[in-house]
Amino acid sequence: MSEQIKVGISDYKLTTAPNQLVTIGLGSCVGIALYAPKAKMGALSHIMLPDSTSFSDKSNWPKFADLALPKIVDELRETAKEEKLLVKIAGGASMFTFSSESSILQIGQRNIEAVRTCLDDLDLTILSEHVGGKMGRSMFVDLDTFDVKVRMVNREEFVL
Amino acid sequence: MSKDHSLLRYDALQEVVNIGGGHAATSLSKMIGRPVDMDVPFVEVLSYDEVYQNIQSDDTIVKAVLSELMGKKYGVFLFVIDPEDADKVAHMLLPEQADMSEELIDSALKELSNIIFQSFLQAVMQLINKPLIASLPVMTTDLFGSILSSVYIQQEQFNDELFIIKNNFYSEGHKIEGSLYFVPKPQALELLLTQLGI
Repeated sequence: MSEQIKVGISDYKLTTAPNQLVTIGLGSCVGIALYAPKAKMGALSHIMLPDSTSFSDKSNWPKFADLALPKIVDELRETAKEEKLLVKIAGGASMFTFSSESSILQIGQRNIEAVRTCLDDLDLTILSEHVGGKMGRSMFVDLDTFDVKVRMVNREEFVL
Repeated sequence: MSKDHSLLRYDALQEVVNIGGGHAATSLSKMIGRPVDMDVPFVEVLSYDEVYQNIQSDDTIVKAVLSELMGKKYGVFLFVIDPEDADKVAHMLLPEQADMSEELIDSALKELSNIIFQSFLQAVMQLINKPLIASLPVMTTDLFGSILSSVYIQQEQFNDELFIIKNNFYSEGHKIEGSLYFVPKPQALELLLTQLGI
């Protein structure tokens, strides 16, 4: 039986085919789909913030890109016994932009940059991505094929 | 802080939202030419999951209008409405217009939201005796989950628990509904309560 496993904000889930991993409503947050192809095992992380450095309370580590990605990648590599993982990412939008804000300050963009840097540090290359822009996204990860469907409101579905 | 004092602060905050919301409902009613009712203001701390279970599901498509208070330290107003209700409201505002493009509906909704924000602010300004200015509204159509999380994050509210401050407006029974949120920056409520002398 295939089950759809939902990942909330600041959370992650790890599971195996035929299950699907889903996260709804990525605005400025970024969703990172990780996949161990031999085991058909994957993880989906929904990070909210790029960097935990300036926070005293780091207990909810899946919230931060810099803490979440090393831990989740480790867990998936260990559980699946595979070193080489595939990665696809989506999100990091700027849903509302006031003219007074520069893009450097925008959290969506900073989330994307942080995710790229963290993945690079973990020797992982992003296979495909659908990031930035002004629209929210939802991700549907098929763990049989590692097709990642990105759904948006009033737009064509995009398959990563 | 004593329990009594924090209760007093909670009551004061709820009263401010009540007065602001009441003012907004009156303006709204004048604008659409029919009565507008309002619930008791909703002031509560909830997790994201609780918000999506109790207030609105994260996968609901909504229209959302946002306006930022100038000065960078207060926060934003957010008006959320079902796209079908936005369509109905637009027809009330522009009754002679039979066929409306989405652009025209959005424009009417932005104007309506602007009136709500401005009249809410006007009431608060009279209470604190201080000028407050809201930016021109920006709007989008998207999932409630994407909108809510992005707005809270943008206001530097990074906690897993969200301070939800909300007025619900109704017209024609419950056929048309809209919700006004105020999303405060950290310390904004402290500032407001101090200005109220509490």
